[in-house]
Amino acid sequence: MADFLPYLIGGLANGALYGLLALGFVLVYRATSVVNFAIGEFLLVGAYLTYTFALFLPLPAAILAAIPLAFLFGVLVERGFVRPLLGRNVVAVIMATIGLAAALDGAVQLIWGPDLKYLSGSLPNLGFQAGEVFVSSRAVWNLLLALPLGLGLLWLLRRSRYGILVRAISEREVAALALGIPTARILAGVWGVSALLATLAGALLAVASGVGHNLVFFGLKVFPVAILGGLDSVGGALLAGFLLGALEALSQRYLEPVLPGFTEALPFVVVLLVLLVRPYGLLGERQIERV
Amino acid sequence: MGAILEAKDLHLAFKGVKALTGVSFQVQPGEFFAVIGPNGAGKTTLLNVLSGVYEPEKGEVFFLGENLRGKSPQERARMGLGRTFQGLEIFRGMSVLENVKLGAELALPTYPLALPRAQREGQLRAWAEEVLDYLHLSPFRHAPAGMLPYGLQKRVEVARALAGRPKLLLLDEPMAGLALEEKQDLARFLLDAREEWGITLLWVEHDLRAVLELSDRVLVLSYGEVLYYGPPEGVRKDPKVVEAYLGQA
Repeated sequence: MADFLPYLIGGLANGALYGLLALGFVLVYRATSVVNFAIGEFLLVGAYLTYTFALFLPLPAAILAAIPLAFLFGVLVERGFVRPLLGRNVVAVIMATIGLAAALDGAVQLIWGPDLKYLSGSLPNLGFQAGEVFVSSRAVWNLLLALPLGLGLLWLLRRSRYGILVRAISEREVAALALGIPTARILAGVWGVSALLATLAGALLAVASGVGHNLVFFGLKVFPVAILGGLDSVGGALLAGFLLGALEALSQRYLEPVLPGFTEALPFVVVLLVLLVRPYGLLGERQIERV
Repeated sequence: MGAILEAKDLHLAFKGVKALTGVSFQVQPGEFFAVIGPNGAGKTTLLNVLSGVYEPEKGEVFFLGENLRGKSPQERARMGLGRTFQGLEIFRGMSVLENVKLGAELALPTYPLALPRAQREGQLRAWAEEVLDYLHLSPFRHAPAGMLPYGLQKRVEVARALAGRPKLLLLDEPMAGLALEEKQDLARFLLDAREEWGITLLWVEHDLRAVLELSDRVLVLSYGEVLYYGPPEGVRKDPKVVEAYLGQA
């Protein structure tokens, strides 16, 4: 069992990024009912933005510089792709995000080329030894950024005026309109925050393993994570991120020798099992759709 | 003083089906104005045109003398045009107080950034509490709105709309599904709100007895056309109304 803790910590470090990404994904889903299939590309764009800034800025400054740009990117996507389809069939909007994903994939390759790139510079080393266990700098950074940010957003959503407005729009958009709530601006902001979170996740991934198109596959993990947490639960997304991250790492260590390749399928197996017992995900709201 | 709301020759059709045809009327300040009609008469469509959900194909709506064409629902709400919905449109996941506070934001000057946050929050809270007290909802202030019995949820929606201190409140079947006693309570609240806060009321309602008892004037719609427009006493006597509406009962 000597490997247990190191693997668990590594898994939670990964899970922190799943959580951030899923949080933004779920936030958009709740507020606008749009399933954003381009979330992986949001992460990709964020990682490349960070890479570009890091060419001439120290890495921490590069990440900070990428963040407002990412927010703007999210707002532009909402204005350009989502807003014009408002009121259309949900499938139309989903197809639009799939198209957007393909377009962004192409654009990223055109601009930055197909080969794997490494960030210049690094974050200050925060790794430490705790008794027998070594906690890597990557794990410290991921947890240090994702946890307060995720919990802070949850708190804002629950308590702040802005958060209450977002919830009001998510729940009853017509009523929100009738109360004079500036829905258009707030929804654009939600997309901005979603892109911002994806960018932070992308930047932290890039720090650890470089920037390349394969980051999109990391982005795809957002689906099992969000479904496991309950598609409409922002808190569930964060929780499920950590959970799947940890399970993946432990499976890598303990199941992979027995069942090679199983770890790839693990998130989906977990989702299936959980949905059998809790059809709305871990923290999703029970609801009956009336047709 | 002129009419608070004036509809002039409103026309609207959905895929060729006429929902409103040449609907004109005026609502006077302080009035309790009712819109009735059989199912599918265009009552809710009319409310949606007034509140800005739909734009009429032809005709204009004037509110406080201002033409509303091109104004979004939010802009109309900020001008003092409140509304409640048929069926429930409360924020079920929020507490009763949070619901009413959201409504109350309209009553405070928009974005009073000059006001310190805490002071603004205090004012909002105080006003929301007053409205809750007024509608006898104070004991439920921290309950999740969606957990309340239906009649109280309806009352929360009315409270949320009243908290915005609208000059004119559009109510879409506020009494549907309520027990007799709840209807009487609601009627009293509405009449008091008109008295106390000077709110003009326009309501769409199915309960004909309540309408004839409470309203100052009545507009009867059928198939999107005005059948009758005048004092409630005349409704039962009008042969066209009797044929289209009362005759069925």
